[in-house]
Amino acid sequence: MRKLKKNKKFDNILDECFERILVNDETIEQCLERYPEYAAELEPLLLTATATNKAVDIAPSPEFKARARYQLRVEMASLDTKKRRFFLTRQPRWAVAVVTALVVLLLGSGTVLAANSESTLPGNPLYPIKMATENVRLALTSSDSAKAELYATLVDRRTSEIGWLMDKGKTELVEWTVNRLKNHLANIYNLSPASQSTIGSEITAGEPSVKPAVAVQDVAGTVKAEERVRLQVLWGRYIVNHPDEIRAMLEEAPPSVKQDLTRAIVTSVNSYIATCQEVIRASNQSQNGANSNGSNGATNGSNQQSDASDEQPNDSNQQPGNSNHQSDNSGLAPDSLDPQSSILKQPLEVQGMRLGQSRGVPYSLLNIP
Amino acid sequence: MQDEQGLVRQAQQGDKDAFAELYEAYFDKIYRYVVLKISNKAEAEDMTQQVFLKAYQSIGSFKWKGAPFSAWLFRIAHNQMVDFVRKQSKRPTVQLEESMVASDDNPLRTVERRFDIERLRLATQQLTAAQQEVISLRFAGGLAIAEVARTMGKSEGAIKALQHSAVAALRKVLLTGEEIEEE
Repeated sequence: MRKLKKNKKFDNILDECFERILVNDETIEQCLERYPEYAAELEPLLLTATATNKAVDIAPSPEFKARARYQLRVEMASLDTKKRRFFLTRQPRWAVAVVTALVVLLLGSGTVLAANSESTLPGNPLYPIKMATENVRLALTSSDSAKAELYATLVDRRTSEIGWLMDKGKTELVEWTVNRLKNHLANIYNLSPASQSTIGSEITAGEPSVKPAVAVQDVAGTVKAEERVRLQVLWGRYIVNHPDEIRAMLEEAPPSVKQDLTRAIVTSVNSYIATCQEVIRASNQSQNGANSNGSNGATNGSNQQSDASDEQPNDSNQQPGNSNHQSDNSGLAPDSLDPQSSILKQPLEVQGMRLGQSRGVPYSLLNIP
Repeated sequence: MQDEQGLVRQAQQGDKDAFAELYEAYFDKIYRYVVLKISNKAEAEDMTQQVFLKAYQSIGSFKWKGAPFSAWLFRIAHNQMVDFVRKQSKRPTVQLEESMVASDDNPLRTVERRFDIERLRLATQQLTAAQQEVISLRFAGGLAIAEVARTMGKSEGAIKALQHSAVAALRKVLLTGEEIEEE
């Protein structure tokens, strides 16, 4: 019994010494001085523990960490897509009927599922079906923020497709995919609350049609506060993450696609910053409108539009990637193709908010949507 | 980092940023835990990723019942590892013989000089499964005794005793290895 108690006491002392040495950086000698009566027994164990701790003090390589983050981001997006797909099956009967009819008439359900797989990549005969499926999903998504999130998922898909195409040396398809990526970005921008008030939906000719965002109307009244917050977070995250991913590809890209990728980065940064600014501005306007309680008509949709006119770009400048829209507020470089452009390297800040950061963790380090 | 409990709750509600913070907080620890058990770098990396994917998929099922998130996460890692090992061909184990354990005038100098992760991995394979787990969780995973206890489903007292026996056994194995190498 006494031996048992002694062992227990020693186990406690040993663990305390481990904590002091491994966590609090005390030395072995300090611990031995603290318990001289156990020093002889403690010392060899503390030496082994210290050596063990040193041996396992290894960090994953930065390349692996970057790859793992990216992979996790893709997998998370993929899982969400599956969840949304499940949700789609809970849609009203008419929606299910429309989708089913489309599927049965045009393609056949098995083909669609196969086509919609992550492994169906540009150049695959099923890839056009994947595009068509994405369009159906967009058409069935009603809320703007949900639609924007779906576009964000598609941006992820296109980004990983670009990476895959480069890996496989299929550079001839990179430009097409970059253009498609840019159109997704354009649509995200068009879905931002304030942009809806002036520009509606603007989609490049030849690209799949997407239901326009809501008609011109009072933004503050239309977009719920929580939805604005979700949009802000989404943009803030993508504004750093997405360009970072393409930047990483740029370093290893063959010369023939460098220009396309550079253009994608510039477009991406400009689009997200523009969108983020609009969301923030719409939010501020909403608050100002609420504060004034309508006494000066500030919450009136038309007044909002005119108030915003100083910051809003002209119609001709609405395309994401247009530098004129960005230069006043963000100080970003124009849609230049210079790989040394600051837009390709600098952290981004909009209206005092360091974008892509929250809770003290830079998203550029996380790369997770 | 924000309160871990709050982050877990947010992650359970689908907040990917919250999960990202948990991921960053535990990635290196899980990696070290895995690397101590799998020598193949590519497999270890793949396993580390799998742990977090599994965690993301099943975080909705995690419940705070006194057990910290770390215990849940490392249990996933442990289960993944068990599956992995089951699929691998079993390596022959060498019984530790007391007679092979030689005394050393200055074991620290010898041990520290040649000690690296590969040597530690081989040495821990000579320990019992429970001893291996304590070494992995405590030193590679960097968990506190209470967390190790939760992860392994034992009392803190039992884990302290196990830790003692594990470090002592590890030392014997290492000294035995030194003896063999010097011959």
